Amino acid sequence: MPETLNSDIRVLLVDDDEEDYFIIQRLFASMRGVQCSLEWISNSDDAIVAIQEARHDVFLIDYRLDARTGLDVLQEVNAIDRSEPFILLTGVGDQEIERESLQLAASDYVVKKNLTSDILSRTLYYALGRKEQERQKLDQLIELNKTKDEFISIASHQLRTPATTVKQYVAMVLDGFGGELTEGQQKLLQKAYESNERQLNIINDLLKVAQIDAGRMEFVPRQTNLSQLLSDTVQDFMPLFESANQGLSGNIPPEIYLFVDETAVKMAVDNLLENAKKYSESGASTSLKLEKTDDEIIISVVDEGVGVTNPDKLFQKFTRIDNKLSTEVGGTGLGLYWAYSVVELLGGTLRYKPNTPVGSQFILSLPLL
Amino acid sequence: MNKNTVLIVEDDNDLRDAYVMILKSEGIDTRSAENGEVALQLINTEGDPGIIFLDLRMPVMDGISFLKQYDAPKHENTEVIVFSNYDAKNEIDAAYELGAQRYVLKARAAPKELIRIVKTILS
Repeated sequence: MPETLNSDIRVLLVDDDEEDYFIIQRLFASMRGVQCSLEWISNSDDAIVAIQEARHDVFLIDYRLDARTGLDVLQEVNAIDRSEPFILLTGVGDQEIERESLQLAASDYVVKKNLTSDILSRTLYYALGRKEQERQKLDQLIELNKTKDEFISIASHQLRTPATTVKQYVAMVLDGFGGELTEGQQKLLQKAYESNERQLNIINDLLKVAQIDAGRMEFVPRQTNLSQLLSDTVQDFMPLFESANQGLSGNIPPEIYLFVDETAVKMAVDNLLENAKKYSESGASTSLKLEKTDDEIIISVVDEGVGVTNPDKLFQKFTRIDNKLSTEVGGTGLGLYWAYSVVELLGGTLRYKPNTPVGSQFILSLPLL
Repeated sequence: MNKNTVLIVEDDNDLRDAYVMILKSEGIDTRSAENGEVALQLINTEGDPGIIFLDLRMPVMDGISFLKQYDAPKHENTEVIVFSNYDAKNEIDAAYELGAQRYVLKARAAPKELIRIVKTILS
């Protein structure tokens, strides 16, 4: 038996007809085995306020109210996402209204003239019971999802350290720490290095997305010299682009400040620059631009890479765009989803535009406060 | 230790050895510690290094606890660089609050990159 039935059930009746209220009140009075307290509201405005206050266990809502119908009320209070059951009352049976009320998550649909105290108590009993079961199932799913996130996080952390170590040692051999390599050895080892790099990218993507999805990334805005931040970023990334025989330049005017979480901006920009490098071929060039307009700051990463042929789902989770480099560079389709989420949490937007004649533009806008 | 010394604080033995080997190959005076506590002892007996590369997640004493005890802002001739990852933003922020000056993503700390960072700071 659902927990709520053991105690007083607080019922809110929304009905514009006082006569109906008296009838239902009498039905409640003659119900056996169920303790209820009934509150009556006669107009939709007050009803919406009362429903949002969440003081009741169940709502009985008449279909015909005032300017709003009962269905409008269900929609406005977002009944689908609420834990209390909504029961729609109507004067006459109407399949269309019944269908709509189900879609708007009404637990039941009762024709008033058929109401008896038995039917009413059974309706309340089942509606509350079903909601309780739903809630328990939802709790189980939330718990299960948390366990899954924790598993991914622990597994990925454990995988990351040895993969990072492999990368470090292979890079050392490639750089001649173990003596000079033949051209053949260099080529084979380069393959191992790239493969390991893909593996690390995947692990890092999984970890950073698990963190942002769990809402564990905290933001600390402070006055930030974006010009300095982005100039440093260009300098930091220069060796990475040079090692791939690619160019990187900055178009960064001095002294542009913004009250923002500096680390988050840097991480999002880092992610876009890494992508630009990954999806460009030898000889291509990428530029990082900073602009200030009247109401926003625009940071754009413009590359001459392979571009995006179908950008519709670009920022969605697990989306990987097919292009001539996508099998080669590897990835999870999580990087841009992550960057998009970070920028959104900063109150900004991240957009894609094709670059002419080739390549991509990723445009990060942050509002000026 | 002196202003030309680099101190690596990292709990993974192989990774720590790799960082030390890389910097020593360039003739850079490099020391190491496997956690924050060992690093503090080393600094107490031998003085401040010029650069500290600090891992954040370590047993015994992690990077954040190390920074609290070391009180980095009082050691203005020592630059603290945090080794980190994209999913460690909260820890990076905490480290910055405690006086760390920059971070290096571990996945990008390739030999040449490490050498470049150290040489830029020491010059």
